[in-house]
Amino acid sequence: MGYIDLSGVTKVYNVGDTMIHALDDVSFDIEEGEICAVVGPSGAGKTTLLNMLGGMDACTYGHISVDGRVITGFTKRELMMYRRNDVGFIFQSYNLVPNLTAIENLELVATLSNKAVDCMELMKLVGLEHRANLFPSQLSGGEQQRVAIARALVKKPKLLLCDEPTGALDYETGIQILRLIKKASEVMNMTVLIITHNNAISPMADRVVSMKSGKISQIAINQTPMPVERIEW
Amino acid sequence: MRNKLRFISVVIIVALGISFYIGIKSASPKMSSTANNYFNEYNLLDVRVTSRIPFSDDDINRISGLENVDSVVKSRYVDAIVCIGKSAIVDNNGLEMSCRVSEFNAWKANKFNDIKENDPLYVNRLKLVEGRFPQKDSECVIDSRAAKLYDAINIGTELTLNGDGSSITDSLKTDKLTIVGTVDSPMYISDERGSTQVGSGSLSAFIYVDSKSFSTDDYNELSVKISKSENFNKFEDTYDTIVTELAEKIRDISSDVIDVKLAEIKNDYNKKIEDKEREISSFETSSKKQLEEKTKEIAEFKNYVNSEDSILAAEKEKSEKNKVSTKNALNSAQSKFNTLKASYDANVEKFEGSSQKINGYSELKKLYDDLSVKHTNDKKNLDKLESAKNTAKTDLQNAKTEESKAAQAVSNAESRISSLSSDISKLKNEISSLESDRTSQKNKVASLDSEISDLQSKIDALTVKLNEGTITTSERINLSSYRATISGRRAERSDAQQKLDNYSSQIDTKNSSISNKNKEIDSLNNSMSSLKNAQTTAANNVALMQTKYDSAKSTYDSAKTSYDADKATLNKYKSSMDALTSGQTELLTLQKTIESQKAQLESMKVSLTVAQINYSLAVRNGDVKIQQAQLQLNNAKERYYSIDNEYTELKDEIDQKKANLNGDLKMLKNTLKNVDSITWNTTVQTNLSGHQSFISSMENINSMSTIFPLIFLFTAMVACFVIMLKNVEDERNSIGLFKAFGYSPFTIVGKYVSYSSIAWAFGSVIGIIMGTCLFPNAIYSIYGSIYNIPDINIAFNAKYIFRGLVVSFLTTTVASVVATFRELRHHPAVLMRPRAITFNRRAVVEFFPAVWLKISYGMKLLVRTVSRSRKRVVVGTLAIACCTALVLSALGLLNSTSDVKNAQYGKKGVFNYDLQIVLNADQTPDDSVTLDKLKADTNVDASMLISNISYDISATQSRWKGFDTAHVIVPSDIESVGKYVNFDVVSGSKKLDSDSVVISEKMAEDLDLKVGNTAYFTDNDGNVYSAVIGGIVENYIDHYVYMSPETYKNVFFEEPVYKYILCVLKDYLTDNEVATLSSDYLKTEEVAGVTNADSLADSVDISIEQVLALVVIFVAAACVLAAIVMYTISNVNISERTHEIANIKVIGFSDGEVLLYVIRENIVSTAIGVLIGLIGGIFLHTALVNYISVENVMYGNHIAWWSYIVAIVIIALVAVAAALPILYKISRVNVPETLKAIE
Ligand SMILES: Nc1ncnc2c1ncn2[C@@H]1O[C@H](COP(=O)(O)OP(=O)(O)OP(=O)(O)O)[C@@H](O)[C@H]1O
Ligand SMILES: [Mg+2]
Repeated sequence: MGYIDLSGVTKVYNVGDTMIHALDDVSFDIEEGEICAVVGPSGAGKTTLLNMLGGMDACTYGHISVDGRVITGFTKRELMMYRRNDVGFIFQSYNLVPNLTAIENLELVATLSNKAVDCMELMKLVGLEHRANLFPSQLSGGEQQRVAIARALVKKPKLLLCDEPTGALDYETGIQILRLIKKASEVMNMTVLIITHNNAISPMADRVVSMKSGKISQIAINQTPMPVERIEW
Repeated sequence: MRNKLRFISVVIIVALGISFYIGIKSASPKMSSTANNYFNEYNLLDVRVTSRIPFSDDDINRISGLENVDSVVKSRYVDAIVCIGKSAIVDNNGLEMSCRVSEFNAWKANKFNDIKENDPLYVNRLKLVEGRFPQKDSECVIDSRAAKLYDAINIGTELTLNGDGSSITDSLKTDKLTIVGTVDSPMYISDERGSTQVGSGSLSAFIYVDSKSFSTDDYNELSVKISKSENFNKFEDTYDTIVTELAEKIRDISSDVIDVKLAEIKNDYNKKIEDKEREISSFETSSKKQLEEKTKEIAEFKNYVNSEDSILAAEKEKSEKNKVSTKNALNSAQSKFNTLKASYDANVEKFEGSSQKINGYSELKKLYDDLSVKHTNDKKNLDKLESAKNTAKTDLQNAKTEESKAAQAVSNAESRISSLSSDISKLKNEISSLESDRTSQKNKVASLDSEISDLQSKIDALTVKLNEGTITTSERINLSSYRATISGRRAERSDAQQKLDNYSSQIDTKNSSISNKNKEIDSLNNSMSSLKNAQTTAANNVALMQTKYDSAKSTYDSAKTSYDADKATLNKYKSSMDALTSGQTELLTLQKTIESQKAQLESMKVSLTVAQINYSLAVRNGDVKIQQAQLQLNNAKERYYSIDNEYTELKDEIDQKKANLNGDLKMLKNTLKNVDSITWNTTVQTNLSGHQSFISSMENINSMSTIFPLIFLFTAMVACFVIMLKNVEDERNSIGLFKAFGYSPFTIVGKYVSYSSIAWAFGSVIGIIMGTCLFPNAIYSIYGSIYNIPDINIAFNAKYIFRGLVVSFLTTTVASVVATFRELRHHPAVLMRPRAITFNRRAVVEFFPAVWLKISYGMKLLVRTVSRSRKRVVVGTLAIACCTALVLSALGLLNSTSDVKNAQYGKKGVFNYDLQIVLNADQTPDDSVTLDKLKADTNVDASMLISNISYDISATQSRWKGFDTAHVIVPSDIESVGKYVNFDVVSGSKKLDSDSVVISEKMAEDLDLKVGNTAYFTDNDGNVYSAVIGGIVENYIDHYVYMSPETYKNVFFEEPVYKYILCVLKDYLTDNEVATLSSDYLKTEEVAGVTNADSLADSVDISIEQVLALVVIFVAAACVLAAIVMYTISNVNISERTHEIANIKVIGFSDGEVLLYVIRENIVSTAIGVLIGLIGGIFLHTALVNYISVENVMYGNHIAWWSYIVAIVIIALVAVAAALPILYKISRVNVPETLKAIE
């Protein structure tokens, strides 16, 4: 049994009369400290999977355990505490709070956590210490995503969930972001789950899970992950 | 559209804003129109003219001739104290009740009442409340308020009128009136009834009688109506100017007319004064003569008394002398008699002692003889007794011998038995030894027998062997030895048997001897019982004999003793008898002496009696003479005293008359002096008592309605406006779409206008309904309980409705039209993209890094949020501030009004006294019986007479510029007045002894009187007096002026009239005890009424309930508005920020934390709003207190601390109520879906 363990996870959406199986009996493991890439065509259920793992939504059947804790059995409040303490999110659309400056966005999270990292240190880590007092709208997309990464790292999560973090960025910036995530996972010994449309990212991951219409079509284990610099698509 | 709740909010906000605005705005106009209608319908006079000099027809004609005058109606009135039976009714001020009795035309009144016939000459029409109008001279109708207020006044009650000095029957045909109905009059719309010259000075009620009930022809009142009076609004300046000018013209006429009359009057008065003076001087001379005569008479009687007195003295002396001489003679006779009597008595005693003894001899002799006879008889008897005793003695001895013989026989038999017994036992011993011998012998025989049989068997066996021939030699030897032994043994045995037999025979003989002896013992025992019986009989006989002997002996002994005693007595008698025979000769001589002395005593007694009679005669004669003299003296004295009394009476009478005459003179002179100031008094309608306070009430509501509804409407409309703009902004997407589809701008605008105008229309309709029905009625009901005017009728006030509609239309419909057009300027493509919100706006503080870097993260967030949503924060703050101010001021109003009664009558209030007693007639502190009784009562702590008369107080000589009717209180004892009234000085000094007066606060404020100013006092006749104000004191209900008796005399030229007593009771009395005490005093002759201070407090007009109604209206409206505005604002906020909310929920914020994050600006605006609102509330409260103030009540001006807390709590609840739905919404935000929406 791995660090993260999914077994028989099924998510059914009722839309009117029809039932959509966004996830259909998904089972796989992720080891601690691994970087796991989830690839697949649009509508495959990647985001749904991530939501389940992040405790944002409840699955219809099956169970998920993270670090030995079965999160599918959590109450609302436990889920909230799980999100608060154990999970960091990074989205394609950055999702920064628009009326707070970059550093304030970090501080917002820091106020919640008791094991928070110094915010300015993190800004340095993502190389944005000189932009800390700018509003999100005054930052480029890549910079915003780096702020988002920094914000996800503030509380030193066990699990970092990234939903297409490079989707809106150009190649160079995408590489930078991925490198940052990989570096952070090494520094903080985080388990990372990255969703992407593009198979080109798979060489840098320890494990690549391919999904298709709610089901896992293939799991490939990469014994020698490629260094970030060499990834291209 | 999208948000039903938002639509409802807009409807409610519009409704609230409009209703509050219309409601409060139209309250005052409605009151005004209602009152105007009432005055017109009841044909209320425009100017009232009164005069002390009756109006002539000429006067009336001159007034009628004035420009603008439509009609002049003359009437009569008279003021009186109203009593039931003999005791006055006590009014709700604890004063005796005075009424104004006016005339009216009952026939016209009935016609008006029945068919509303509008006779313009029937003025000041009465509205029949209950009962009917009078039909007889002795019937009247009375003030309905008085009927309601006083239990004593009912339909059917007969009232007795008392003119308080002048005679009622001078004016009316009868002074007894029966109430047949109760009425309202437009002349009196408030509780005030005006002032008067009678009683306490203030009128408590009005009475109307038919014109025929008046007997006088002196008309003292005119009702003037101006032409087209009904066309004027009585509360507007135009009307006021017209009537005021008219009144002035009338007064001008007055001075013309009156000058002529005055000359006459002055002449009249001068003549009267001369007459008076003449009367006084003639009276003085006549009275002087009278007095002199009396004095002479007194002198004569004095002489007479003196002569009588000397006669009495002489008489007394003579009688005394006579008494002494006779007394002496009597005394000597008495002493002589006494000595003789003493010696006589001694002799007699001695004689009697001796003769008694001699008389005792014969008695003694008789005793002796009797005893001798008895003695001889006794001797014979004694001898007989002695012989009897001796016989008894011999009998006893015989019996004793017999007894000893019997005893001998018994003892003999017993000794025989014992010897026999010992023989038997000896024999028995012998037998037992024989038997043991026999037994040993028997044993010996038995052993021998067994040895023999043993030997025999051995022999037999050997014999058999022998026979068979098997015998051995040894056996043969054995056989022979056996055979030898056996024969030896057989001999031995027979020997032993013999001995045995011998023993047996011996035993048998011995046994037979024992049985013989036993037989003998038995026979002895048998004879023994008979012997013993004989012995017992003998012993009994001895005892009997003994007793007989003892009794004989004791009889003899006692006889012997008595015999010996008699013998001794006889000897004693004998010797006594011998001694007596010698004393007889001495006795005879003593008898002779006694007889001679007795004769002497008899003669002496006669002379003593003579002396006694002489003495008593002397005494009696003296007494009689003295008594006669005394009587004569008393007579003289009595006559002297009566003459003296007559003199003092005469003198008093003369003094009194002189004082009266002088008083009359002074009054005449005074009146003459005042005659110059006599004018007609004119009162315009708006100055009628009560009208002025009605007008100020209306003005108050009016000015209140300028601030309140405007703030309210403004807040509501700003909220509406913000919501509308937001609404259109939210719809910009669809607007873009419509535009892209090619709809014309007007079609698009029409869509949004219809939404907003429907909301507006709904809100307006609800608002108009509430505003015209609910609010004015609530406000009117508060004033309606104070003023006696008909109920308000619902009428739309087009002006305010129109204004309200326009404003709300602008902020809803027009706002949305403008906003839509603004959006429509943009290209559809722009519209369909989300609006570019520039979030990078920095708050001002951020430019000061020194500050910015120091403040906490939470504060930063706050500042940022507030600076981003300034519009909403302002609206929220406004709503909350408005609400807080309303709530606080409303609560404060409650504080202020509830304060009043307490401040005036409560513990530590202005008035300290517990009871006010009304007296039937005025008293002085020295001669009031009730006061004495109170002073002696242990339940009463203190009591004092006071004078209480009402005057109109003004700051200028004429009352024209406004006046207050005040109680002028004169305490009879200025030292202790502090016990009854607490003087809390506002300014100046509370000292009453100086030549200045102390007035109450509210009046000082009303009339703008300061310490050092002069206050003018006008009585009902228009006489004006003045006094300097020395101090102003706290007071809450009614107006008061306090002054010392001296000051009163100086100001009013007369002595104060003490008709009331204030009492402070002991603290420990219960309510019941106080009631009993009151009724006790009420029973006193002097007392007309007793009023409890508590019941005075109860009669204060503004009750808290009415204010509470106002408070509830304000608070409820304000709270609903604030809650809805707050909710709407945050609701707008929420839909705008769902993405942000989802975002921070993902980060791990709980719902509560999200709520705090989202409504942070609401919290800010609530906090700021509460702060502003509390401050505003304090000002608003002050304003409100002034607005609602009724003329004679002063409200407290401070808000209790708990009101602040309650206000804050209420606002907090409102804020929480507004936030709860938001929390619900936050919990409903679907995080994944919201986040996905943007991707
Ligand atoms: N709230 C929802 N209600 C109904 N169906 C949904 C809902 N969310 C997702 N789905 C359906 O579930 C399926 C999986 O969606 P999901 O968002 O996981 O796809 P994805 O793999 O992330 O695609 P993409 O790469 O385009 O983001 C889709 O077919 C989608 O229609
Ligand atoms: Mg997706």
